[in-house]
Amino acid sequence: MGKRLVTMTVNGETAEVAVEPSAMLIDVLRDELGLIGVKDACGRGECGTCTVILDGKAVNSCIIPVMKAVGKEVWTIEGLDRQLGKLHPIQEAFIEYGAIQCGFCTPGMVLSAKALLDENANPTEQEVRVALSGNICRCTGYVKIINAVLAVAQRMKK
Amino acid sequence: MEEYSVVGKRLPLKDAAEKVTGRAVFNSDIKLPDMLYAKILRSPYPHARVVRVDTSEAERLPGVKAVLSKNNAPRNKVPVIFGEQKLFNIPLDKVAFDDKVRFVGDEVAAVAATSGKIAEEALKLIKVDYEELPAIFDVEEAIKPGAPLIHQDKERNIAFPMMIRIGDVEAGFNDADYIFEETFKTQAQQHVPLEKHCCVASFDSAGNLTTWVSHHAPSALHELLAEYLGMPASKIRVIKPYLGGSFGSKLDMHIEHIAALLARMAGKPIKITLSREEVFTATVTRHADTIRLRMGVNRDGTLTAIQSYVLSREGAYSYKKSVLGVTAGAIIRFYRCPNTKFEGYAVYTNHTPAGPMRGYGNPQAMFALESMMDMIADKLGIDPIEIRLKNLVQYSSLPECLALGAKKIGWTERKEPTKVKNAKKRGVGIACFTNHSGAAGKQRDYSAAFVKLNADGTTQLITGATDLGTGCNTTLAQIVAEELGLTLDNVAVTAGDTSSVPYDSGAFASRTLYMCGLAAKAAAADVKKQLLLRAAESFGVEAKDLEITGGSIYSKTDPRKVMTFSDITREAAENLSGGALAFLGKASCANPGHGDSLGALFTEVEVDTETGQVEVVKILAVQDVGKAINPMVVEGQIEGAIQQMTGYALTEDVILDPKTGKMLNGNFANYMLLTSADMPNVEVSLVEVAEPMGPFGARGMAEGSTGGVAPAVANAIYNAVGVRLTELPMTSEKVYKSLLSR
Repeated sequence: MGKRLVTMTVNGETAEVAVEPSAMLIDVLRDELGLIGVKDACGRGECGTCTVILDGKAVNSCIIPVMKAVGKEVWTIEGLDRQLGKLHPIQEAFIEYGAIQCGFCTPGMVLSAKALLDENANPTEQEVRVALSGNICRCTGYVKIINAVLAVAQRMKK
Repeated sequence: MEEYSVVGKRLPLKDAAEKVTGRAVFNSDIKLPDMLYAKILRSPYPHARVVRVDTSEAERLPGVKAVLSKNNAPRNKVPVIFGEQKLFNIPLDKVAFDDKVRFVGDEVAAVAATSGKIAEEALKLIKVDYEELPAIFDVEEAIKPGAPLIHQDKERNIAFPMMIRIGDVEAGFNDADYIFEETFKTQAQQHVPLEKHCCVASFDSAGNLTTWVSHHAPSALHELLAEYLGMPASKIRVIKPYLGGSFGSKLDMHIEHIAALLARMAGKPIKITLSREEVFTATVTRHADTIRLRMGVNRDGTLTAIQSYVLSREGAYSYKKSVLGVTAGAIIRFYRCPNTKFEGYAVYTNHTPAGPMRGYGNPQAMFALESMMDMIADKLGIDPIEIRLKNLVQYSSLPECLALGAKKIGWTERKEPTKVKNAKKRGVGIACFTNHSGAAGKQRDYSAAFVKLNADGTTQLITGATDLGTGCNTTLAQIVAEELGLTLDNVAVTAGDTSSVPYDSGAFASRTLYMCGLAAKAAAADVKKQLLLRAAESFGVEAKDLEITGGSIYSKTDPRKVMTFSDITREAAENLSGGALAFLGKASCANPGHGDSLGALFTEVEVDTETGQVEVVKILAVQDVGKAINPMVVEGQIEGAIQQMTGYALTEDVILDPKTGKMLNGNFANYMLLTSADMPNVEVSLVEVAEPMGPFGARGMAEGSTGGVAPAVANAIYNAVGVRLTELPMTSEKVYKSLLSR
């Protein structure tokens, strides 16, 4: 099957890309658009490292066929600070609270946290734990990640 | 402890912004012009002779550029890191693309093609004739004389034995009032680093190899590649970009030699990225051990004899003799006992090879030993903390850790187990743990560093250290900053490139901060000395009358005499009258002693007696880490180890189909890692007693708590419901069965 020219909004800009219709969203974002912050670790939607925000929802881009994203709005980690001109408060909190070790799960983790806080600005610890449970981290034990997200929620209240 | 200005501070990682914005380039993100993608054909059988490999059809597939198999791969053995084969006189046992496959996942052929898809297509076109051989998955069966041999040149399926005798163990048992005996079993665990193993290899036209690796001993890998490929090390450059976790998994040569061979054949850069299934089945796991422990004890709780018999499952190939050595050391050394006997065998089976994994033989030993200590305490009616204090060899700060933990967890309110049925019952358990600073014994354990002064007075630390997420690029810079009186911002770090950094043994054995820290501190002290001498000359005073703070040098006797570091470099450049012009500090350090980091781990669990489900409610780790160079980083190490080891205690297991030897749960959905929703409430308390040998008093600490979790959970389950689990993982099924038979 030949490539098809499709359009989607990626990190606030219109992106016109030639894609294999069978490709997954992750392949287009990484290979065609060079957005390497979208990490690949399982290819089966089980670990969350490829998380992007698609029309406001955190999704695993490795199991979203690219054709499902056509005409939609996609945010990857690269878009967060570019849009704001500075680090997003979640990113700042991750740095400040020591929520980052190897950094491989970090982009996905930040985006899942963002999707949560966009929907629920005042989550309980349990709600944070559940919202991040699709994002595997093997380094941190999650303690500092959870604390960072709760701290952002606290700050946003003020 | 002394107050410092940079050391001991909760400073954010220097590379945190790169990571949190997704800009950090990991190995898997590297793309070179004209790069080929390689895939590996792996054995579907656990044990078989590879009679014939026909790759002709695969080679004809358009886009295929190189195919590697037993037909054309070198026959020399794959060397292992640490040079263990030389140290311990163990013959190497692995040939890449051998005539025999020894586990499901063993490599049979590799294809490099213009795309990953074509490489995968080509694998399907390779015809392999296998002659199946009987497979062995049980260590007790494998060790029997006459069992089918996994390595033909061995008389039995024993990679190596290990015997240690101290005192007279029989006399010790004769003296004992009680003798306790139990068999403990631990499972294979997978490291599951988030980033899959990945390697890029490229030869230039002069035959120089550059390779980008996910590996945490680049200096060692540099040597291994030279040895395996028959090339001078000067023609090989190993680069470690951002590394997405490892925990020991990326410490042996799994794909780097294959990428180099293919790159040489194809004359183009090669990239190999393992699939997640390959990471599970074709790298390494933690050693699964069977530990028979027999302990003699007096009525008052004093140990008189410790005898252990350990079968450690090496799987198909043997990488690490020292793992069993660490198991032995933990059983023998942790408690004071005049009579000990250790008999251990590293046993070949048809499993994925076992290799280094965080804790490195220690968690297996501590599960057995610390469970047994509670069994003894229970029988003798002695408090579990009391019996440990009575027998500890290394007093140091462990009593302090135990006291602090006991207070925080409410140890005195702990109740005895009761046998109420159909209820959720809570219990509290404890276990002690230990961690060496660096590799013990015969291992090569040394580090070197350079500290270069820039013209503007800022510095560059050039270190052999490997940051695999452990934060050492920040903590080592903190050490240099402290030594030179600079801020952290004024210390940059070069690491992970064998063409520019000095030798380092590697990131293992909790040695990086300790050993690379010693080297970094000494190199900084060297440059400091050079600066002081230069300033002394300029001021016309003695160097001992000078003081360094905030990037400037003052005369203690005449405060008007002040020079910034950049004044000194400028003056040195302008005045070519001698002395150091290019300020370069250097140091090379051998491990001065393995200052232990000890601790105690407390846990509270809730056991559902109807289902056997164990919920770990709380974990409290109290550890003497020496000086915490960056407490945030230190806590993060302990918290991460607790996630891995809570999984080890309860859920994680490499499960094989007993008939085919295939792994049944080689993916995230079925290999039960604990998520943020599953994790208990974790609390970490640091005790800081300076290690005299360590940099600013620091100890190696990152693996210690791995030993504490499983036995503490087992002891807490016993405290809750009165059943003793001796086999890991302690699944609800096992707990339920134990409850039925109590």
